[in-house]
Amino acid sequence: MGSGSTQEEASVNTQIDNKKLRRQRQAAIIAEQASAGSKTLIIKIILIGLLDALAIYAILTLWAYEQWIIMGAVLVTTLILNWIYFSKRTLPSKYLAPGVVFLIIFQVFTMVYTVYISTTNYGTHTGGGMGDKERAIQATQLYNVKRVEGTPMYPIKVVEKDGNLGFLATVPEPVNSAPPASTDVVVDENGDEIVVEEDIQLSSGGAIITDEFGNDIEVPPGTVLLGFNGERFKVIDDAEIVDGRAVSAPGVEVLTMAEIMNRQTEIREPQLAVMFTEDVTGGALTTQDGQQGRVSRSIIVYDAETDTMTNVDTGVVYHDSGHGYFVSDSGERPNGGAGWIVSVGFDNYVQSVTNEVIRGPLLAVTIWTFVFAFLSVATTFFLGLFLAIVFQDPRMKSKKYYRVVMILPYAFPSFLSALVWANMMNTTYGFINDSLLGGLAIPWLTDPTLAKVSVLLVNLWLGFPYMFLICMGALQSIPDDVVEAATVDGAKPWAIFRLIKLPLLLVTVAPLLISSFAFNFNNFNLIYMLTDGGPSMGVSGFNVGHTDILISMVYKVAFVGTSNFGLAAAFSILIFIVVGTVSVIALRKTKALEELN
Amino acid sequence: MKVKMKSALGVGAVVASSLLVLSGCSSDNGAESPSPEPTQATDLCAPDANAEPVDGKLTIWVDVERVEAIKPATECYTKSRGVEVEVVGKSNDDIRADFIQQSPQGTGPDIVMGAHDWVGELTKAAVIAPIELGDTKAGFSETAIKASTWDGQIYMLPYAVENIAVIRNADIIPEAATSYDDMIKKGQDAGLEKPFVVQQGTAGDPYHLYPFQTAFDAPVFGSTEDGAYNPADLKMGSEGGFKFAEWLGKQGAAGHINTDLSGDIALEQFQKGEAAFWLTGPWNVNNATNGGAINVAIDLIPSPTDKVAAPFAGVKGFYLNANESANRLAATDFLVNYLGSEQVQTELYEAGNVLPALTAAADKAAASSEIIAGFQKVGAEAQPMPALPEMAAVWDFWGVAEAEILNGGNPKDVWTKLIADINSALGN
Repeated sequence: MGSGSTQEEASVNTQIDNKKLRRQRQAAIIAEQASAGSKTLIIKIILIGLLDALAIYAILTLWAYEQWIIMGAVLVTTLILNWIYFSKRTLPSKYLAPGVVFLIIFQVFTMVYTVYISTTNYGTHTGGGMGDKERAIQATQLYNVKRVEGTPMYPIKVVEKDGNLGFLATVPEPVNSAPPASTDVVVDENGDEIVVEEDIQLSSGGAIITDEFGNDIEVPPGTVLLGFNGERFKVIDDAEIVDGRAVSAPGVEVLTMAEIMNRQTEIREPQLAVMFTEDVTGGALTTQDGQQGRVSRSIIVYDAETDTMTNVDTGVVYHDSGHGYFVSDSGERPNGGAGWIVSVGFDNYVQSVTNEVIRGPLLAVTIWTFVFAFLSVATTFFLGLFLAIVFQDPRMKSKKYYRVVMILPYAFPSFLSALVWANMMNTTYGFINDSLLGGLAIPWLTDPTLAKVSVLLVNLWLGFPYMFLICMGALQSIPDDVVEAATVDGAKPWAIFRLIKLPLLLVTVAPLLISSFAFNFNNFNLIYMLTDGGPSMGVSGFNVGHTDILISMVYKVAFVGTSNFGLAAAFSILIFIVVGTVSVIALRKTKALEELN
Repeated sequence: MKVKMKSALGVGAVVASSLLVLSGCSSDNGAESPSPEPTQATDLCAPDANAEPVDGKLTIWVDVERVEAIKPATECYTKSRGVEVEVVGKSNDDIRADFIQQSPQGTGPDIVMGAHDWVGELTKAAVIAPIELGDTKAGFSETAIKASTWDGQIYMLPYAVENIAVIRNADIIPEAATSYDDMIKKGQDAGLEKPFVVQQGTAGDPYHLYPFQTAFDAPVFGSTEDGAYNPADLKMGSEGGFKFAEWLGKQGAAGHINTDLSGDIALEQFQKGEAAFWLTGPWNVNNATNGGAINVAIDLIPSPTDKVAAPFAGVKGFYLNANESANRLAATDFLVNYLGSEQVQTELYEAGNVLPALTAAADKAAASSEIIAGFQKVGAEAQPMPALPEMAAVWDFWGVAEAEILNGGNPKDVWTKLIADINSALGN
C-alpha cells in the first residue's frame, strides 16, 4: 500500500545530496516495512523461486539443444531479476522490470529479428535458402543418391561380425521389363559393335563382383554374397537358404528388426554400403528400410577441403557462389542444389525500390494503403460524430433502442462480418444485387475501382460504432456553458460546431484517431476476408491485387506460393517506419491542440 | 452407375466392402487384380516374434481430417515393429508452409502427408528425401507413380488418387449426357435454366475448367520422353488453347459458367435441384446427395468436342523429411512396407473413402462402390497436376485470365497475354 509514498521518498532522496545517506537508509527501512512484511516476503521468495526454477529448467533444456545465445540471455535476465527483487536499492526497477522484460521479448526482439531477416535471402524463392549451409550440402547429396538404372532390388539381411555391420545378400533374378543397364554400344574401327566394358555389368542378369584375385567375375542369380561396410562382397556357399533367399550364415549374427531399428542411423543409406567391384562408380549396395537392398551411387560428391561439389558423371565442379548456393563456372546450379541462408545486406530494400516488377505495384499499394487508412478514419469518424450529435439532441426519442442497433456492427467479429459482406456483394448471387437491386449486375468486388469503394463502405459499417461511442463520451464532456456563451454571442449552430465543439472534441479524440489510422493501415482481416486483395493487378511474377494494402501484400510475399521472407520482412520494416513517422508527427500536432485548453 | 447413396455410403457398404475384401471375392466383371498376392496370407500387424523394445519414435503430420483414418495403420506398425508412432493432426492450410519452415530447423516430423503437386516446391526447399519403392512400385497405378516422381526419383508414397467428374442428379436426368451441348440440352429440356454448375471464383478456377481445355487438345504442358511434364513446351499456347478460350467466352456469355459461382453456391444450386450436373470431386459426394435425399450418378465429363475431357489427377501421399535422419529407416519401412501394402491401403480406403493408389486395393474399392468406380473411370484419362514450383504463379495467371474471358474479355487477347505471362513466370 505504501508504495506511492516510498517511491516519492526514493525520488526525493536522489535530489538532496547532503542528507543522501541517512535518507537512503530511512527509505530502505520504510520500503521494507511497507512492502516486505513477513507474509509478502514469503510470497516474494516463492514467486522468485518459481521463476528461478523455470529459468533453470529452461537453461538445462537449452543446454541440451545447444542454444547458447538464448541460454545466455535467459541466464543473464534471471540474474538481473533476482538482483532487482532482492536488492534494497532498486525500488523503481522493481516496478519497471516486468514491463521491460516483456517489452524486450515481444517488441524489441521481434523488431530486431525482423530487421535481421530483412537482410537475408530467407525463403523458398530462387536464390533463397531455408537453413544453414551444412544442411543444404547434405540435402543436395541426398537428392543425388540414385539407384543404378536397371538394377534389381536385393533381398538382404543386415548382419554383424566383430562389431562390423554388413549385408547378407542374395543375387536376385534380373529385372524383366527394364532394359539392361545403360549399355554403351560403340562401333569400333572395323565396323564391329563392341560393348563398353564397365557397362557389361548386369547385362545378363546376376551381378558382377571383384574376386579375391582382383578379377571381375559374373555370378548368377541365387548366389549368396556377404560383405561388410566399406568393403567388397564375397561369394559364400554355406548360407542357410529359405525360399531362395539367404537368411543366415555361419560366423555372422543376423540382426533382428528391433536391432535394426535401434541402430538405424548406422544402417540406413548411405551409412552402410557394401561394394561389388573395385570400381566405385558402379554403385554399392545400400538399404533404406533394412529389408531390401538397392544398388545406389552418389552423383554429386562434396569435398569439404575445397568446399566444392563435383558431379562424378559430368565432372562439372560447383563452388560456393557466396550468395547462398553452389554454382558451376558456367552459372549452372547442381541438380537439386539446395540454397542456404546468407546475408544479402540491403538488397531487399534496394530491390523494393529498383526492381521494376516490385516497384510499380509497391507504389500503387502504398498509395492505396494511405488512402484506405485515411478515408476509413475520416468516414467512420464523421458518421460516428454525426450520429453522436443526433443522439445528443434532447428531442430524440427511444435512444436506448437505436443505440443497441448502432453498436451491433461493433459487436460482431470483424472477420465474420467481412465474410458475410463478401457473399452479399457477389455479383450474380449476392443479396445486394439479387434481392435489393432486383438482379442488377454491379461488380462490387470485381471492378478495380468499385472494389475499393466497397472495401471503404464495409469498413465504414464496421468502424462507425467505435467512433460513435467515443464521440458520445467526448461530446458530453464539453461544458454546456461554452456552447451557451457562443449562442448568446449570436453564433449559428454550424459555427458553434465548427469553431467550438469540433476543436474541443479533437483534443480528446485526436490520439484515438491516430491509433485508428495505424490500425486501419494494417487492417489485414478486412482485406483478407473481403477481397483477398483482388481483383488482381495481373503483374507478372508478383501476385498483388487492386485492394491489397501493404500488410496483405506482405502476407502474400511471405506465405502465398513461393515465399520470400527476406523481402516481406523488408516491407514490414518500411511499414513500421511509415506508421511510426505518421504517428509521431500527428501526436506532436495534437500537443498543439491541447494548448487550446 | 446410378446408385442410392444412403445405402451405398452407409455403414452397410463399409461392412459389405470389407466382407468382400475378407472373402477375397473379385468384382463380378471378373477383372483380375494385376499383381499376384503371395504374401497376403501373413498379417502385417502380427507382433514380431522376437520383438525388443525400440528407442525410436516416428512423428507423422497428417491432414487433421485424416487422423482417424491413419490410426489403424500406425497402431499396426507399433504392434509389429515396436516403434511408437505419434500422429499429429495439422490444418490442411498450414501443413505445407509449416513443414517447409520447420524441417530445416530440425523440428519437423519424420513423415508428412501432402499432395503430389507440392513435390517441386518441397524438393526446391530441400526438405524431402527420395524413397526407394523397390518392387512394390509395380503395384501402384501409373498416375500415382508419375505424380510421385520428380527428376527421376520417387519422393512420395502415394496413398489416394483424386480427380473431378460430373455428379449427375439421377432423379432429374436419368441418363448420362453424351456431350457438353447434350448436357445443357438435357437439363434445359428438364426445365432447368442453368443445369450445369462448376465452382469458380473472382480469380477463376483453372483446375475445374481443365477437362474442357484438354478436350480442345490444349493440355498445359507437353511431355518429355519419360512422361514427365516439359515446362518448355507450353501446349496451352497452341491453336487448341485459343479455341478453348473462344468456347469459354461463349459459355461465360451464356451464363453456363460463371465466376460468381463459388463452391458453396454450386452446392446450394445442386441440392435445391436447380442444377442437375455438378463438375466436382469425390469430396463433395456426400454433400451432393444431401444426406441421401438425392440419387446421384458419376458420369464421364461431357466433352465440348469429340475428344475426351480429361481432368487433372491429384495424388495424396506421404513424404519423408530430408532433415530428420534419426528415424529415417523406420520411416521408410513404415511407408514402403506398411502404407504401401494392400492391407493398409484397403484399410485407409475403408476409413477415408478415397480411391487407393495401389491398383489392387483400388480395384477392390471400385468393386465395392459404384461412386468410387465412377471416379476411377473418369480418372483413367487423368494426368497428374504439374508439380513445378513455378505453378503457383501459373495458376494465378491462368485463373485470372479465364475469369476475364468468362466476364466478357476478348478471348484471343486475354489468352495471348496469358501465354506470355506464363512463359515469363516459367522463365521460357
